[in-house]
Amino acid sequence: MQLRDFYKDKETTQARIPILQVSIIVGFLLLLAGLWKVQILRHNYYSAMAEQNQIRSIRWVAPRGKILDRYGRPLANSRRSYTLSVTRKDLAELESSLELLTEGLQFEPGFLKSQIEKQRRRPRYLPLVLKEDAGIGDISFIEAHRQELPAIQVVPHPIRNYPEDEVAAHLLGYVTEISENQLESGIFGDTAKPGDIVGQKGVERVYDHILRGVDGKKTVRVDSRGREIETIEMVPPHAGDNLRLTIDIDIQRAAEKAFGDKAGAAVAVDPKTGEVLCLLSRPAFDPNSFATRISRQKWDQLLLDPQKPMQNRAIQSRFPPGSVFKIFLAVAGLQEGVLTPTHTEYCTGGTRIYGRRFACWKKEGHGEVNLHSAIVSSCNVFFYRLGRKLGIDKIAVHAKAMGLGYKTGIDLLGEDPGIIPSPEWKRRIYNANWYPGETISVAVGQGAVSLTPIQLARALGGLGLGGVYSVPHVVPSEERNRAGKRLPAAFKPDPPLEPRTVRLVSQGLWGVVNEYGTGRRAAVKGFDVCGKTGTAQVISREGRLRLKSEGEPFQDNAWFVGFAPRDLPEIAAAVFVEQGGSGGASAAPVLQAMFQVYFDKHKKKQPQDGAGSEQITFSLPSERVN
Amino acid sequence: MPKQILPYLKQCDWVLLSLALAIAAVGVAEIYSATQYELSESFYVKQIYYIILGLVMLALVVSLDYRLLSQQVPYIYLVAVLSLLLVLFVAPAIHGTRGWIPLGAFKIQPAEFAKVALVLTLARFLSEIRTHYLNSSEIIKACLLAGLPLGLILLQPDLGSAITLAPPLAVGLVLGGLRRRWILAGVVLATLITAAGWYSLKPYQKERVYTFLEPERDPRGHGYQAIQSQIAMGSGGLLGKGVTRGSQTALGFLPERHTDFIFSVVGEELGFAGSFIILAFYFLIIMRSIRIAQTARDKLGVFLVLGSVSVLFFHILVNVGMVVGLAPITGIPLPLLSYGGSSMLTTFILLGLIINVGMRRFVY
Repeated sequence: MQLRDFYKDKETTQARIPILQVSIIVGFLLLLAGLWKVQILRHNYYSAMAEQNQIRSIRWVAPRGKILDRYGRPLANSRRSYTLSVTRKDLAELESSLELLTEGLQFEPGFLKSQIEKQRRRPRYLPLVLKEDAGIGDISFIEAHRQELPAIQVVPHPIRNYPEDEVAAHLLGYVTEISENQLESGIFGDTAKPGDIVGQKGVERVYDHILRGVDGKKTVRVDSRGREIETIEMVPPHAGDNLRLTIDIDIQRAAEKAFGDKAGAAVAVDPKTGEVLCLLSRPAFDPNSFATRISRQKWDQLLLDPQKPMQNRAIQSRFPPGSVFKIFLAVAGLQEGVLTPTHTEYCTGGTRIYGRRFACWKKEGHGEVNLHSAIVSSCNVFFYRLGRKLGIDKIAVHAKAMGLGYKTGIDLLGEDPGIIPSPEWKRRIYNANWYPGETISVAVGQGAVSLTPIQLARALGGLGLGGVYSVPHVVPSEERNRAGKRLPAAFKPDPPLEPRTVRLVSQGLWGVVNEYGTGRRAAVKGFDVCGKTGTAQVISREGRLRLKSEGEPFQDNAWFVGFAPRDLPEIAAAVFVEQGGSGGASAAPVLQAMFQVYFDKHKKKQPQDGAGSEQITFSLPSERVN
Repeated sequence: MPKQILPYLKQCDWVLLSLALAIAAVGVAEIYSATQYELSESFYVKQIYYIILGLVMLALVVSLDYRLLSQQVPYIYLVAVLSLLLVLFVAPAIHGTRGWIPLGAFKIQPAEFAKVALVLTLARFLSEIRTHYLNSSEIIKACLLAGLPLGLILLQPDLGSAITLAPPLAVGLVLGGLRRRWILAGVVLATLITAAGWYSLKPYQKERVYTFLEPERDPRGHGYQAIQSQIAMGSGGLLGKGVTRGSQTALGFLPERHTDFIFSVVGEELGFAGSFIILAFYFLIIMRSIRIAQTARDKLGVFLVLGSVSVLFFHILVNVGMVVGLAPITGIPLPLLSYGGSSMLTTFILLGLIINVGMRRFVY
């Protein structure tokens, strides 16, 4: 290549400068156009956005309505609390003060990070909650360190409070922040927003729309850190409505106390109205622990607990009724006419039916028994033979006529219908034929028959009233109407109960408690308690032997069901104790405790105000001793 | 001695220097406004120190004949590359990248000085080629000279700073003379690199590109900066809200407001009028610099001036483009306006090179 002279060489290079010049001019024109567009053409648009930027709506959470017992005593209320939160934008700023916060708020190391991580998926405009229900110490710590922690917001926030703690936990349910799924499915209505606190389970869930208030809002001018500069608008919240229940705390407390630490359930209802006076399930949980963000670990613990503390055994679990079922067999026998009060059987401690031996619980036998003594002494042989005479279909018809095997329609969620087995049922579920021997097991409440405590409470009360089965409910009708919650119509028993049937069976149940029967521990002096024990085998005889040899005591499930007084009962109840052994020993005292409280409150003559507290007399002397 | 310096001082482009100082002064005012509620540091005072320091550097650069300076190129280049290597090993990682060497009270950003070193190196290398067009080995050598520091900066990793090394290379090659097939090859290569680069981008970088294309996509997240910046600019309108009066700025909605987004503050507080004037000043500085290149005494001068111009222009284009929503968000500062010592010093050194060439065009 030819070398050029020095000048020529430079000029060649300089001749190329206009290319750059033009590019640069074009570049500047582009920037100018950009400025023109943003600052002149879209000025109004961005001005509005700048204005909006500084305005923030802060949710002003409405307190939930109180849940009251039938006399207006609080079962759930709200208390004032403070939440420490931080807007998402300020998170980066917070990073540097995590240690200070962890120390000042006394968190476990690493807790804050996991807390923040957990809330990553909440909508971005919701502030991140660092600590709910902050104490005075926490708040004064934040205020004292305002300079270092400008981003932390202290927001007043009503928290659900259950003053009775675990009492009636399953009935009341609990509240948590609405989940994504619940929000999407719309089960809490169109007005539900992310971050709302909604009822989960129990009354909190079913009557959420009554209890949940309407959140207000506070519109404030803020700086980019979310610090309030001035208040522009305040819309105060509407607190949720209070809700009165049919529950009587005194009865509930008495039942909880009598229950001890066993697992099981107890329900008491007013059979005339269907009002539920007491509903408990054990083991229970403390609904207060959900009111603030529950830890994953605690939640798993509750869910995975083999004892299933979240299960409402009073309505959601069914169990074989054991001897309790004999009541319904007696009803069926009388209604069908295959049984008369004078009919007798001879119990030798067992009987052979369909080529198989069925044992009575009393090895040496009851001797000659009639209907009354068979109920009182709970003789299996009598009912085995009655069952054979009736056949499974008739047993099922009469049991179902008393509402067994159907949901009662109680105003709580997740009710189990129970099972009244029949050949048709077995074909449908198991695609297998019914063995005649199964009928004999069902006759004493074993085998496939399995019922919920609420069903039995209703059936017993209905029986005592002569065949009127009101729908159990936990919210009185006037409040329920306001809530727009309808109960299913009370069903008419078909065929209707004959007065004679009612009288004879009630008399037998009275004998169980007040004569020589198995339920003497349910007696309330002066109240004519009628009831029946039940003991249901949990596992087979062989299994029991095996377990016994391994030294693990494994006991039967125990029942006690009943009503009082005998004529026109005012309270009916079912008590179920898991592994309670015999119904008379473990379940009857719980029913007794409930009935005693009811009796003391409504039937006992009240002493005159102030004076004469010793002179207690009974309005109903027990005159009907047979 | 003074007699010898005097004619030089007369030749010094005082207009250019005044324009630069005017912009820097506006910068100080806006940095003050942007950080008036920050109690921790007085950024604007520091910025004044940086400007003074920059002027000292400029005086130093101007006082040495640029031809003498270019003789030191091998050392300058070596120091730049070594410091880029050093930064990879000793610098603390901040937000996952390491670009700063702490030096007492100061933090040095070697990538900034690599820009100056590269401008000098390419000018020296390309000005010594005496052919009309560059041949392939020369092109490759030039690319390697730029590629080494660029690659090292990419390793930090700092994509934004790395690409600022591309303009002096591109300008150098264009001025050096590229045949059509090389231009074509360059276009193809750039396309390929862009395509390949896309796959090697970090998710946050991709997110930035997406956000640039559609800021409303994530208004609270990655789009936040872009939207807030445009709100600031746009709400400024024609005349602006006045210095210290910008609500976007004062209430802190604007991120990085005293550094990368300082032009948004100018836009909000001084309006279209103010940002137009600033832009015009930049334009004048660049046009005067090009004028110097056109009248430069030698080829080295031409390359030095235009290399410097390319760096300055690229920063202005990308930064202002980002602020008005024409370019994606990159961490590229605006020369003279953005808060920061390294950027300020680099800018003044580049201006010094330009003035240096201008001063010595008629003196032999």
